[in-house]
Parts: sequence; structure tokens; C-alpha cells
Amino acid sequence: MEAQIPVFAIVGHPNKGKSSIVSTLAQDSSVSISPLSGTTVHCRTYPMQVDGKELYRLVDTPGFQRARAAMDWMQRHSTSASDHVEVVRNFVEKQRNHQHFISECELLTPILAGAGILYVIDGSIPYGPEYDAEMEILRWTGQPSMALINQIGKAEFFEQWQQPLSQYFKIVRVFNAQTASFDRQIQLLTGFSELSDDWHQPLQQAADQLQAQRRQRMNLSARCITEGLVNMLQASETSNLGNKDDQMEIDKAAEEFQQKLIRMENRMRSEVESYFNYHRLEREEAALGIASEDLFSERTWKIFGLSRDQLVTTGMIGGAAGGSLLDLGSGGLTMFLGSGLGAIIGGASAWFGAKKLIGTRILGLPMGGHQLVVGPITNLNFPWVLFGRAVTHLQLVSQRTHAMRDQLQIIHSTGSDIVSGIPSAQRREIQRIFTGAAKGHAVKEEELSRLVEVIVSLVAKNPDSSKRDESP
Amino acid sequence: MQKHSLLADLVDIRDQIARDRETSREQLQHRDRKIGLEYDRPLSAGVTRLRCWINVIRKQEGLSSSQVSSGIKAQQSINIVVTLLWLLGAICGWILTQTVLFYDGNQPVNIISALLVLVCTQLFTLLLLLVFSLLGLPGVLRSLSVFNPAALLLGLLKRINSDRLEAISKLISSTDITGTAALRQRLIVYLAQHFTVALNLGIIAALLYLVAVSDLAFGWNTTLDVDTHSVARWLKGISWPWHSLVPAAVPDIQLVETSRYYRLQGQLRNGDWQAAQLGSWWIYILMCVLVYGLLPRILALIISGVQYDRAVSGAMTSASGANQILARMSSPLVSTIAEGEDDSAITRNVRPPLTKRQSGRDLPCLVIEWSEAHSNTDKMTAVGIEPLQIFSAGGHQTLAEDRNIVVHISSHNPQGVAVVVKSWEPPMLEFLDFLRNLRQRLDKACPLIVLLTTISGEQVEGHQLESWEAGLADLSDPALYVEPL
Repeated sequence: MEAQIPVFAIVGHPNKGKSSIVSTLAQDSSVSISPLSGTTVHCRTYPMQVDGKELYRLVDTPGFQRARAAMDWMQRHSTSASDHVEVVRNFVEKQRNHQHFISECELLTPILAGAGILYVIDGSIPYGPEYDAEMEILRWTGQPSMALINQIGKAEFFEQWQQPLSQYFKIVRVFNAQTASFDRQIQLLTGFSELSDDWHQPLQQAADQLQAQRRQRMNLSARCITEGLVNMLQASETSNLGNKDDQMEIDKAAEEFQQKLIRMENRMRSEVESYFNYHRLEREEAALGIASEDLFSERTWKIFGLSRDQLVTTGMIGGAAGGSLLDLGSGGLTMFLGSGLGAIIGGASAWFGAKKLIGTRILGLPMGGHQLVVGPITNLNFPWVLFGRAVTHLQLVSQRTHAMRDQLQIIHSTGSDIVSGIPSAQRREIQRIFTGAAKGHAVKEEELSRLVEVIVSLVAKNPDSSKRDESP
Repeated sequence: MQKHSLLADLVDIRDQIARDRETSREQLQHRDRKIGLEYDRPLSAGVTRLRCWINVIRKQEGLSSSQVSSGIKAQQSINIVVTLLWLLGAICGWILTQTVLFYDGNQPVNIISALLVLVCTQLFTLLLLLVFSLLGLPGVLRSLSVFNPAALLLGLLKRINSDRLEAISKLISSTDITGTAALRQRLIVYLAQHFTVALNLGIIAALLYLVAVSDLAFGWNTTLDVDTHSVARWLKGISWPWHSLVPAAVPDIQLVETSRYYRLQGQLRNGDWQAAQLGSWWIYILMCVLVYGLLPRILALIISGVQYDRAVSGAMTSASGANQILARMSSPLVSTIAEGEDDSAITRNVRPPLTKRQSGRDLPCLVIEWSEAHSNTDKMTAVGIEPLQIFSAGGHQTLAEDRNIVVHISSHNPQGVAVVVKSWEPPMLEFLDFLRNLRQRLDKACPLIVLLTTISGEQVEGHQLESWEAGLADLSDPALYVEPL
């Protein structure tokens, strides 16, 4: 027979962060978290599956509402300590169809089915006698249990809680659902195996898989950032100008280009967030500011679809080819002067003659015209600004827990703190990639991979992640 | 399953990646992991795995035989371009040869000019391509592409508004960060080799035709004081590659001397017109075209074909999103989120809000401390409540003790009852039961005031007050009030 998978019922007083803990551990932002009591009235399960195979399951339960009354019922129906589990079972069976103890029946059902108990209290408020009945009922179920001290507010009453909790629970852990780092979450998960030896292997397997998933998320996010950055560095907008001095047209094109960059950055942000299961995360971030002098507006013209430089090169090659015939005809006596002169004449003709062709029409089609090219941005700091913003965002998203429901506030520093974390040799290498990309050169796969490595290492060594861990 | 070319797969993969942007990541993970588990061989190359992926997707999407994917359309476009280039090349080769080898019986065909046009030009362009490719000068190559028939044809394609040509046009105009730029260059070079191979075949065909249906005479002349022996040595050197294979195509000194002519004299150097001997140069020209024209171009076609395939493969693996596909296929699908919609939460009925107690003279009240919440006489007085007697309920009290308190308080027929509760705890149903019992025993108009205390005397937080107001509103009691203490 297949061994039963570990199931953990998250139980406790209403509004003490049960749903927050589930939200963080299940990395699920869809969990309803409300300051109003009794928001959760039914159990909701969160299976942890790897390729469809369930390794453990979390059950979010409604909070106790009438614990004293339930305890009173149980005490009245119990004759000795040996019948406690049976009494609890009878209570659930008898009261299941009555509204009065709906929350108690709902939360006790998975426990009676074999779930381990994770009893959640808020360590930022003092202990009160109203909790005793709840803890006593849980003890009566006879299931392995652990107390989790969550911290919703700022105050700390951990010491006050230690004594009552240790009377009912062998294991007491501190876990802040709002700020717990990923390592801390994994530590808590593997800690659940202390409740039963049988749960050690599936929980360890689950922890390994979650860590692998985390690594992959980081890599994919860094890849997304890398591709997004290069795309933004290479971005440009070309539009045909009726009049090369039309300032309104120029301003409009510059504005459209800026909006394009902002859209590209937002798309990059959303994709990174989706890797971490955030789908509608509200974000507050200073808009990407680009100085107009960095936009590199270039008014140029094209003939036969060739830029001025291309046209000159083409003219030079054509001239050189003609000159070389002269050289060949003279048997080399002209010492390749023909080729050289031809190239100069061809190039010069293209340079000076081309302007005259603008406005000329052949069969009604224009030969050339003025074009406005906005971007790519050539300011050397621009790639680093983008880089710093993207890395900061990834750091915040990767450290955020799903219990947090506020806006993601991205406060950017100058970016120098991020850049200073990169060894100078690596910084030069990245600068070279950025410069190449801004010039429109294709970025090699190895270069992209290097950038991915740098981003992942920068996020991994962020000092904030260690500060957020609490000691158990 | 229909076998698709690399290019067709590349175009279809890029299309599918674009379509996938509209699909949720969870759905993509499920779909691709399933493909990965059923078909994928994780150790194979990325290109093989991506091609396997797109084949399964095509099957899943149920693309019927009558439907043609963008990839197929792109490949068909390329095939059309190749065919056109072969035709164009062959025609150009034919016309070029007819022009260069034009002979009306007056002056022999200049062998040096023929070699220059038919062979050297090709070698020169091949050399240019090699040098610029090795030096990595894409800008110069782009400029040179003005003369490239393949680039011209592709340029024309971009301007033709056809559904069939849209895919290839999109591909060659795209600005993907890696791969695509190299692909565009490789495609043009590869297509150009088709043209040049056809050009050489056209030259050979025209040469053979002229030899077969007309008599040709070749000669050479120069104003310079050039030694015939040097020219012979030079021409012989050129024929080194085939000198043992086709000795007849190696010019000897006698033929070189015989072929020299002066236009002023209107005769050959030796003064003898030996038409048959002068015509024998054709085989030398043929071998030159074969060895220095056709053969290098066939080699270039093969090499550029391999490079083109590599570029397509490179563009496939470096396509934005391809990495994610491979990751989704090979990584276990880890899911921790809840199954189905969240129906665990209730939607509260909207109740009329609690009314505010009118401030005025102090209201004498019996006070109940619920679950050991501490009352504060001074603070109660400050909010207009005069505490008469204090009782305890909830917490460690039994339900029977709570009931006794209710009976005891109602027996006093009080003017008001204040219940002090902890603001940081939510209003539990147990507490609402207690209030309900109390109200049943009290006069309906007797004010029942719930006073919220705080942990250290600070202000009650807004969400706490809101929570209590919402919870107590469920009792629909017009004489029930909630106030911070």
C-alpha cells in the first residue's frame, strides 16, 4: 500500500495569519487574506505536486469561533482521557450538519483524517485565556502538532507565549509569513518532518524540488532581464520626415520612443513577476527618465533604401571597380592609381550627388527623403541604469512573500551600489556587451549567459536576504 | 508527420512563441512539461528538442493538411527565390558567354579578356566575400549586397504584399537580439551561391554550344613588350590543377606563340591562320571555368549551406523564449498553489452600520470584562460611562458562569451595560452569542456598549474598529454601540 502523504492543517484563532502562512508556503497570492474575522469558512487545500505526484498538502482552515462551547461539549461527553480522540470524532459527526459549530467541524475534519497540526498564533499580541480551549481541543485529537509564532504587528510577545504553547506543543517555531526568506521557508518545511519520521523523505524531496524551481526561476528571470536589456539598448524608431526641421514631428517621435522603452521595461517586469507566481502585482516605481540629449535624434536621408554611409561605400566600391579596369588595361603600370582614384571619385560623387537625388521621382516614386532616427541611446550610463533597475526589481520580487499584499515599492538608488558589487573585470566585460548591443551588434549566446550569471550572483549575494531570517 | 525544413521549424517556433504570450504560464508549463515527458530527450541538442516540440505542437493544434503554416510558407518562398536565382544565373551566364566569346571571323576572341570576365571576376568577388567575412565587416558586406542578386530578390520580396511571402519577409526584417542578423547575412550568401553555380553552368552550356555550332578562334595581344614565354608560363601555371588529368587543356608554347596577333597587321604573329589550332583554346577556357569558377562556387554553396543551417539553428536556440521552452520541457512541474477557485471565503451580507451613541451626561453602566480585557475607570468616565460594578466573562470562565453573569446583570435592570473587549482580537461568534443572550434578557432600549481596549493604551487601529463594527453589525441591534476606550 502506498504511504500516506504528509498533510498539514493550518489551524488557530481567527485573524492570526493562518492564510498568510499558507500563502507564503504555497507561493499563492490567490489566498484570501482579510482583517475581518471569519473570512475563511471552508477548508482549502494546497497540494505540493511534482509532475502530478503529490508530495505534501497544506490545508488552510477556518479559525475557531466557539472553542469554549466545543470544549464544553467534549468534556461533557468524555468519561476518561482515553476516549478523547473518539469524543472529538463524535463531536464532528454529530455537529457537522449544524451551523453552530461549522468552523470547528471544518477545521477538525482534516486533522481527524490524519493531518499534522500547525497551530498559528500572532506573536505581536499578548497571550490570552481564549486560546486555551483551542489548544486543548487540538491536544484531544492526538495528532502530531507544532506551534508557529507568526508576527503580524511590530510588538513582540514571544516570551509570554512560550510557556502556554510549550504546555500543549512539543515543537514551537517562529515564522514571519510576511518577511520569511526563501531559505527560512524551506527550513520550516523540512522542520515539519519532526512531527513524524514517515514524513521526512517526501518533505526533503519537496524541499529539493522547490530549491531547484527557485534556481530555475532566478535563471529564467535573469535571462528575461538580459534579453530585455539588449532589446532596449538596440531599440530605435525611424520615421519619415516631411520637413527635416519639423520640431513637432521630432518631439513626437522622441516621446513615442520613450513610451516604447517604458513599455518594454514594464513587459520585462511583468514577465519576471510571473516566474515567481505574481500575476497582478501592483508596482510603484519611478518612471524611466531619459534626457532628450541622450535620444540621439539623427536626421538623415536614404536613397535606394541606402543610408548615406552605405551609399558612399557603394560608390567607392563601384569607382574602384571601374578604376581597376584601367589598372588592368595598363598592365599594372598605373600602380593601382586607377582603383584609388575611382574609389575617391565614386565616394565623393555619392556624397555630393546624393542630396540632389532627394526629391527626384522616377515613375512617380521618390528616390529618397529625410528620415528621423531616434535611438539607440548611446549614453554610457543608460545600460547601467536599466541594469540596476532590473536587478533591484528582481531582488525585491524574489524576496517578496505571497502573504504581502501591498504594492511592490521599488526605490532605486543611483545604481552604483549594484554596479560596485561587480568585480571590475566583469564590469568591463558587461560594458563591452552593452556597448556592442547599443551599436546594433548581435549579442552572442555566451555573452547572454555571462550576463545571466552576473545577475543571478548579484541577487544571490544581496545582504538583505540574510537579515530577514528569524532564528527558530 | 510531414517533415519540415529547419527554416520552416524556426518560423513556426517563433510564431508559436508569439502566440504563447497570450497563454498563462501555468498552461504553458503543463503543456510543455507533458511534451517533455512524452517526447523529449533532454540530452539531445537544443535544436533537436525545439524541433520535436514544434512538431508536437503542430500535431496538438491539429493543423490539417490543407492548412499551411507560416514556416512552410517561408520555406516555399525561399524555394521560389532559389528557382528564380537558378534561372537568372543560367541566363546571365549564357548571355555573358555569348557576349564575351562573340566572334565574327574578323578578330579572334581575346583569351585574356575572356578569362578576366568569365573567371577572374568571380574569383575576385569570392575573395571579397572571404576577406570581408573573415575580417568581420558586416557594414561593408551590407553595402556590397547592393550588387548581390539574392539580396535584390529578397528586397523585392519584402515589398510584395503576399501572404505566402509574409513569413520570410518578417523573418529577414526582424530585429531579434541574437541569431537573426547572422541568419539574414548567411541566407543572402547562401542564396547568392545558387546564382553563381547557375551562372557557371550557364557559361559552360553557352561555351559548349558555341563550340558545337560555330567555329571559334582565340588569340591574345598586348601593346607591352611581353615575352611570349612568360605568358605561356603564366597560362600553364593556371592549368596546373588539371595538367595530368586533361593534358589537351594545357597550352604549349607553340600554341601561345601562334595565338599572338597584332591588329595593325591584321594577322597572327606567325602569319599563319590555323583556325583549328586556335580553336583548341576552348578546352582551356572550359577547364578554367570548371576549376576556378564552378568548383569553388559548388564548394562555397556547400559551405554556405552548412553555415546557413547553423545560423538557422542558432537563431532557433537564441530566439527570445526558446530557453524558456527548453526549461519548461526538462524541469519537473512543481505546483504548490490551490486547486480550483477559492470558495473558502464568505461574502458578508451588507448590514446597516451601527449607530453612534449620543454623547451627553454620564451613563451609569454595569461593566463586563470579556476574556480578561482590562477596564479603566478613568477612560470609561472620559467617554461618558459611569462604571457601577465590574464582572468577568469569557476566557477562563465556563459557559455556565457566563450564563449566570447574564442572569445576574439583567436582574439589576441596568440603564446601560458596557462590555470591555480586546481590540486586537476579532469579534468571535462565541462573543456574539454572549451579547445575543444578554440582549434577550435586557430591555431592547438598554444601551449595550462594546468598549475596545488596546495593549498599551495606544489608539485603536482603524482596521480593528472596522472589524468590530462589521462583526457586531451582524446582530442588527439598534442599541448596540462600539467605541474605542
